[in-house]
Amino acid sequence: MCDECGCGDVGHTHTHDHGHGHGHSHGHSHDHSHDEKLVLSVREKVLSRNEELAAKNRAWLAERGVTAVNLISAPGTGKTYLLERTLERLQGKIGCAVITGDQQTDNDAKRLEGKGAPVRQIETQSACHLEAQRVGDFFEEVVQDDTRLLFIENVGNLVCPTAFDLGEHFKIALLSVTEGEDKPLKYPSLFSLAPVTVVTKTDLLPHLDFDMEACRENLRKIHPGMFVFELSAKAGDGLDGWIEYLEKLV
Amino acid sequence: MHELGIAQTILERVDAIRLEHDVPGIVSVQLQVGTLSGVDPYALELAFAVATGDTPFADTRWDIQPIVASVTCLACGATTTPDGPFPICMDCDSTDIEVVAGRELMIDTIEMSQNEENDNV
Repeated sequence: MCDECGCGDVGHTHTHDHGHGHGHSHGHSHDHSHDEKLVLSVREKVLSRNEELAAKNRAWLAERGVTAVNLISAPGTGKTYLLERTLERLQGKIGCAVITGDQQTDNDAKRLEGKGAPVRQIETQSACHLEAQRVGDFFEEVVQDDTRLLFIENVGNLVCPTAFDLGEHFKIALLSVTEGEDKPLKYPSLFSLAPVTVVTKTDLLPHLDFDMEACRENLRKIHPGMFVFELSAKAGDGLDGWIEYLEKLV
Repeated sequence: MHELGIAQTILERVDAIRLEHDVPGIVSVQLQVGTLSGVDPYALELAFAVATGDTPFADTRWDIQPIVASVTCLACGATTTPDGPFPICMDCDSTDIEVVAGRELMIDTIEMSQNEENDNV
C-alpha cells in the first residue's frame, strides 16, 4: 500500500505543491492476506470504572451524613490496634463502622468486634489493595442509621492502595516510629495524598534513634500543611488529641 | 505490585470492547502510562504475560507508551520534569505544584482482528 495516499498501486506518482513530481516504488512485494484490521481509538482511563464507583460511594455516604476515612500504612504500623482503642473511646459517643482489608484471615475483624461498631472483613486474596466496588458492596451492611464515622482500614501496603479511590473523604497515613523518620521521603505517593499522618508507637521512642522533628520536616516537605498526630495507642499518650479530632470530623 | 490488578482491569475492558464490536481477536493494545501514574511499565508487561496465559489474549501485543511527566511549580513558576515517580519541582524542590502530564493510565487504541483465522488471535 502506498503510504502517502493509501491506494494499492505502488508504481504511481504523487505531485506536490512545489511543482515537481517523483515516482516511487517499493523494493518488496506485499502479501495481501485477508487480515482486516480495525484500529479503534478508545482514549479511556484504565481506572475510570473505579473512579465512577468511588464517586457513587462518596455520594452514598454524603446522603447519609457519614464521614469516611481510608487508613493506609505499611503492615505492622498499628492500624488495627489504634482502631481498637479508638472504637472503645468513641463507643456511646459517635456511631462508628469499620471495613477492614487483609489478603487473608478475619483476625482484624475479630479484634475489632464487640466495641459497639459493625465490622466487616474483606479478604482481598491476591489483591494488595481495596477497590471502590469491594468496599461499596458492604456499605449497607455496616452503615446504620446512627453511623457517622466509617473507618476503612486498607491492606497493609504503602504503595498500591494510594492508586485506588474508595470514595472516602480523605486518606490518613500511619507511620510507626520503628519505620524511620525518612519513610515519607521513601514513599512519597501516600504522604502527598494524605492530609493527615498519625505517627504511632511513640512509647518505643526511648529505645530508638527516631528523630521526630526530622520526621515532621520530611512530612511537610512532601505535603505542606500536613496535620500530624504523635501517639501511643498502647500507653495512651496523645490519644486524647486524636479522639478530639475525630469527634470534630462528624 | 498492583500491576496485576491493573492488567486484569485492562483485560476485562478490552474483552468487553471486543465483544461489543463482535470481533474474534485483538492484535494489539496501545496503552499510555505516565511516569507519575504509580504503575511500573516493566511490572505491567510481566503482569500481562501472567494474566493472559490461557485467555484469548495470549498473543495480543501490549504496547506501553511511557508519558514523560511535566509539572508546573506554583512557588517559582518553572515547568520541569521530575526525575522520579513523585511530583516535585526540579528547580526549587517545592511540592506545591500542578501536574501537567504524567498521571496518565489510559487505553489509547485497540487494533482488532476481523479474521477468524488470524494467527494472532
